[in-house]
Amino acid sequence: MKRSFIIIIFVTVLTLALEGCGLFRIGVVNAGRTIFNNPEKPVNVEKNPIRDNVKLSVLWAGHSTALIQMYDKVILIDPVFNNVISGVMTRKYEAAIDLTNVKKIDMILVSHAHMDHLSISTLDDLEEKYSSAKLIVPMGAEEFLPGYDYDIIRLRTGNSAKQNFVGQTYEHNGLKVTAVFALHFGGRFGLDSYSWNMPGCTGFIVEYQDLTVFYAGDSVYEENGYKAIGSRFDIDLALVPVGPCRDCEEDNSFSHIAAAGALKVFDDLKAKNMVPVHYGALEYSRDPDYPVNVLKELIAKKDGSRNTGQSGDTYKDRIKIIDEGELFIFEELDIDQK
Amino acid sequence: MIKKVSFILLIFLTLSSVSFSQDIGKISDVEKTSKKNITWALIQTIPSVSWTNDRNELNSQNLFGLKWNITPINISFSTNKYVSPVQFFMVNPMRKYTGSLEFFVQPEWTLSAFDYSGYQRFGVAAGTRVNIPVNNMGEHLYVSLGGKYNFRKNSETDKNGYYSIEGGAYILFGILGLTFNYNFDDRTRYNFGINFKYW
Repeated sequence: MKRSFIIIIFVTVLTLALEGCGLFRIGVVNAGRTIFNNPEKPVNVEKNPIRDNVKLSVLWAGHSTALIQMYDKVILIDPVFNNVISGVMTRKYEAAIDLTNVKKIDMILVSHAHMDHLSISTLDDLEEKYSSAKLIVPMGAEEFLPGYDYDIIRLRTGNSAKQNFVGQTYEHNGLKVTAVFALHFGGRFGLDSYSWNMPGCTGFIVEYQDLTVFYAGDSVYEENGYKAIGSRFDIDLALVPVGPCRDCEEDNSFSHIAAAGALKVFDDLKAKNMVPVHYGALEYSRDPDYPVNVLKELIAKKDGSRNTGQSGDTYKDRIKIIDEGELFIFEELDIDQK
Repeated sequence: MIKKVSFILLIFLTLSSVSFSQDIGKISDVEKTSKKNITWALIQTIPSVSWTNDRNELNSQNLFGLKWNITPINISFSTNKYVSPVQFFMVNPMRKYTGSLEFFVQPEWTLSAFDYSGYQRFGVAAGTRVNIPVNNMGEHLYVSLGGKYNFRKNSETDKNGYYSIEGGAYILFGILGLTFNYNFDDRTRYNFGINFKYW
């Protein structure tokens, strides 16, 4: 009896040590929230996210879901509208997006198959209205997609220096999407991601006319990768994850870019503007807004030490922290472009 | 017994210890095929639990037992153009719970003897079931319906087994499920179980 008791204690302690209070803790915390809480309704959700007079805009729906307008093209990124993600994680806010007035979506980009980035039921719901959209996924993620009416396009990834950090490109009606560097995981169900390393994660470059948008997907900070992308593409807008993070002043945390790392990515990309994503909705180990609060502090600190004196050159000017459901218009069309 | 359960638990938790905090040098999108095959095979040894009815004209009891789920063939009804609808043994849960038909084999073993029916403790069931998505395309809930033949010798009769129909409901991407079997045999009328299955 005594021996059995010791074995059980040993197993428990070893398990907790192996888990590093990571997923185990996240699961336990969120399971409680899922049972007892419902997500809050987002306050201001833009009803007309797509407009005739816009050259470049972004609507952030929370976490990593964003709706991008580039002239007449509409791109939806990592659409996840579910209130409960992974079966155990309840969002803090419902997905802040209203597509009632969005007549078409040209491309839906899915960076990888993790449940906070790929929702098969959201894609199923969107299919009814937007079945003509091209569904773009990295090679490997197709393993985790059911059959849809969408034209599914699988892109070869470019996640290593060997591939110069740039993968395959697909073009449709002038809208060009390229798989670019991301260092994260494919897979969907835990072990297949973190232990088996199933392939299927990517970042994206989207180009249309004179505009270039970068979406990092999930990744860790890797200087060479982002510098290579920055030297190859003239990026107008970068969507970069800033969480989840335990210590957000580190470059990386939980195999994701943390707030400090996001600023380095922004610098390496030499992008004109950045919108931070991958925070706010889900609680991993701290307050979901903790990453963006740290980002604000880092921006203030860096801007304070640089003090260029030139308007528009500060991090604060170039990094747009937007609310869930808010539409941010970076550029409107000139009268002769309309 | 506790030692055995602890050991199985230890293996499972060790294998499933997802390390968000692992160092960046280890992150790669090159699939570790041999690790995948070995850990998958080890995970398949984790049993599901079942209670099997054992009865005669006078008495009845439910025997606690273990069973293992093997899927030699799964045919998915919902696949995209890049993947095959037919999978052997290692079945991607996505293609299973979004709708599929599968042939399965279930070795079963009860921890105590069949006192009333005369059946042996070890048996193997083989059959076919259809998996039907119910909620969230099956990710949050799917159900199954199927039939099987249970190869299990009976020392008191000449019978070598019996037919059953089975139904099940599964949550959490099919990892956890409840199953119920109605057996066409007076000596073991039903059995039910809690299913564990990963990939």
